[in-house]
Amino acid sequence: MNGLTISKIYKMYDKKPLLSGLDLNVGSKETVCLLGASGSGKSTLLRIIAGLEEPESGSVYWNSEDLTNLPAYMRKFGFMFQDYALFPHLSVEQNIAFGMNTKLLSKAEIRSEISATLHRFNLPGYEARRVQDLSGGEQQRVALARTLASRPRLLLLDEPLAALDRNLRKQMLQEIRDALHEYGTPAIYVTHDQEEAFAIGDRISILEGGGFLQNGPPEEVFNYPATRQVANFLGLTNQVSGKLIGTHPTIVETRIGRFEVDPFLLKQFSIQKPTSVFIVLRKAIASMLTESQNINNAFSVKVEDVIFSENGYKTAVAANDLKMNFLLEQQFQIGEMIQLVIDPTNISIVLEK
Amino acid sequence: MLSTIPVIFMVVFYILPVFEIFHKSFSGIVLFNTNSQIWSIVSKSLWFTVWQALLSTILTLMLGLPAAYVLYKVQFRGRSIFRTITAIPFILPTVVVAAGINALIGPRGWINLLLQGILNLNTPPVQIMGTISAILIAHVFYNLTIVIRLVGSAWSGLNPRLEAAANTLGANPIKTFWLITLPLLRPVIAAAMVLVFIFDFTSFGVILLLGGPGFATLEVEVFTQAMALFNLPLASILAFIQLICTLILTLVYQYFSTRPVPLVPAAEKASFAQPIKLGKKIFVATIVIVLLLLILTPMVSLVARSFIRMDADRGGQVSLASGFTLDYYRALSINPRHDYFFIPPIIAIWNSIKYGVITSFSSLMLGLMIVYGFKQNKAQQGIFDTLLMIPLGTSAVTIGLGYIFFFNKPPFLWGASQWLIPMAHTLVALPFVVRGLIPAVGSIPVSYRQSAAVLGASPWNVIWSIDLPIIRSVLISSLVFSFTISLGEFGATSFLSRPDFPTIPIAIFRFLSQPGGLNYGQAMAMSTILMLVCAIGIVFIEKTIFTVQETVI
Repeated sequence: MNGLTISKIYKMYDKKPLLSGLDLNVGSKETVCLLGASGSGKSTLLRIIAGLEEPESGSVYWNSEDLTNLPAYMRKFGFMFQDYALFPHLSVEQNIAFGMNTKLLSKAEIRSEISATLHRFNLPGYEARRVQDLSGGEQQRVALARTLASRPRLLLLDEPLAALDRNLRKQMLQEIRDALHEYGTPAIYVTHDQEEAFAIGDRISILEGGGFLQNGPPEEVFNYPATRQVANFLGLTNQVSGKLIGTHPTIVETRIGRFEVDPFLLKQFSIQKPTSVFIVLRKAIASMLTESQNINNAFSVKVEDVIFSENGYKTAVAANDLKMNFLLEQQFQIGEMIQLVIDPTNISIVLEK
Repeated sequence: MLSTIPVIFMVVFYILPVFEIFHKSFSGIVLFNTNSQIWSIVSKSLWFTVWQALLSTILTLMLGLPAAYVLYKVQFRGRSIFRTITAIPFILPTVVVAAGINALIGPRGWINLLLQGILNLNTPPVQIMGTISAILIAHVFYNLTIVIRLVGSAWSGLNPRLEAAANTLGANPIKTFWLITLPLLRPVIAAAMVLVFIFDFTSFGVILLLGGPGFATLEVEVFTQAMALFNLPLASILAFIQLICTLILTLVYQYFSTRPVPLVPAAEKASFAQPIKLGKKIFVATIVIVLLLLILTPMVSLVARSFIRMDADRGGQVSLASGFTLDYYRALSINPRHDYFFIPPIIAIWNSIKYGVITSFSSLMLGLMIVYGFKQNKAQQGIFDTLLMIPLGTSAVTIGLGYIFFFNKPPFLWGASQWLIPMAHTLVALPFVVRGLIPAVGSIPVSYRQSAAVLGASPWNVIWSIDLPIIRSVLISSLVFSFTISLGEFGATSFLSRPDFPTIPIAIFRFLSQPGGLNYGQAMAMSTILMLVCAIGIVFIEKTIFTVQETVI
């Protein structure tokens, strides 16, 4: 297999299994995002891939070369740390040159490479600066430049934006994306922020409870969460239990009405009806309740709270005891009864476990 | 208002006595300016002071750095016990260290007794008492803790991601150590070196008790000139030179100790524990064994020697009256010759406790007055802070000499007063106490005091009901720490003590300098008692003391 392959990685932490038998493949030009809550072991997995930590068992391969027993300094992977780990006793230039110095390049080659790198990362004139005197964004750029300047065959990024404020984070995310594309370096990007993951990952792997809950492109993971846990993790909390009663079209019967749903996931799992399932409601269109209608994909709710946001009104609603949240274009009054209509493409189906 | 008392204390008990040395030494220089013999004494003792300190420092570092690595960077069972063990020597009084090393390698020590027994010799084969080797061993024993603690804690706190980053950038472990770890630790290694050098430079008791007549550092020469030869002008010239040197060294230390080492935030001190390979295991075991041998054998020998008689009877060459005995302890409280002027050694124990209690309370009171008195005014606090650091760099011998000069003349005429002893001890302990209190008081969030004030508490009430309970453990460890400093203090006390009010270290010194098995045994017994008290102290305050230590020095 091309690129990075890890197989059956086990790791204990505090005498409890942290990673239990993980497999993952990263193609030669691919960026994979490891998305997981803190403590899920995603950083540990990254450190194992880098060779900074040893797994209890399992293997790490690059192409077909077995790296499992190779120390970190021989793996030719780049690693970008959350706190950047810039060497405080070295200048910007010396930091960037560090990886090249270990590679037996000539002085002239290193010089020209450094100046090209500084230019590429918008840091000309920064050669002699002390890294402590740089702003957060500049430190981030130096760290990225240092990692990429030594031309790693795989870049590992451990929550690289966590230390930055919101606006800077957006900007740096774009810079990392551009740099990865330009250098053509495959990467594993660890984050707990789904927005970041969606923005940078060609593929998302959600890590939870020692295993991967789901692997796939961002749209697929978001539109078709494989389990309720994934849905919860992605902030898709509008979940209603029901029974699958038909497959052409796919109809789920719930206590707030009948819903026709997107059958995408059903193609992957062979489901016999009737089966207990959950449906996840992502987006709704609202209108004033005129008369009681009994049609598919529509139900009436009471408005409980309305909060303004840049993308619309975050509206908390209740259908009897079932509480949900939707982003609505229109502003309703608290206490008002409204009707919500949900397009089948905005409903995904999740198996009950 | 609160700060007036400490200011008066510092002026009377430090600044004026030291100025008296300045004064005397300038008149001494005028007096001796053509006498070349004087300058040869000065240059000889200065030269010896410098090279023995340098050699001791290098040896301490050579053992201390690997020990710091083993005790702070490698995880193994019993590590915290070993750390505590390595901390003991630093708190031991110099006389105890000297007695312990004497009990191990001295002419009456275990090694010699053992070799004499095996080889059937009449004279002890190992003759290193009174040589530079004994001094070096004692200095390494004494100051190893400083290197281990200062470098070790910086090393273990060093952001592990810096080394990891170097690794992922292709640097192998040796390269990573040379290019990253060592340069980052350089300030703390330099600080530890300077500090060890200062302690070796101002070494007094060890040289006096282990070096013998052939070796005199500036300190010992001050003592000899002042107390044996009564050449006070020369003593003050030597003390003056000593003072200037230690001041410069203290400034150098300050420079290095304020350079930061990039530490990982305490909250995420997750250890990246790696399995230990065989080579490393052997290395760890070797270091641990060397440390245990170096640190424990003198202490064990000391205790054993205080309970076991191993001497040939008086006049007898062949028969050894050996075996377990409590005679040495019993002898501490009796007057063997029913001498009217004899002061039984037990009095020394009582005196030491008395001075220790006075020292611990007066230094804590003064410390609290300083911390709270200068809390409002940052500028004043800075000045007083520096002022306080100076006595730390001033040797106890200098302070003792200054007291002799200053308090023997009007208006005080306290030359024969025993109360100068706890005052000198307070001066020695005060910087440690203050440096422990400042971070503790500073760590109390202002909001606590503000909310107490808003709830109606007066400023005194706030200190009493909010501050003091919060820093209680620091207060207690300050008391214990200054008590142990007072118990073991030898330099200043050797100037101020009189035959009718000895302290424990003075009594041990006298016993060791007198011939005879009983005197030797009593020295061992008293040292054992002193060591026990100090060991209890360090176990009691182990947790807080070194945070104090590290911020102080």
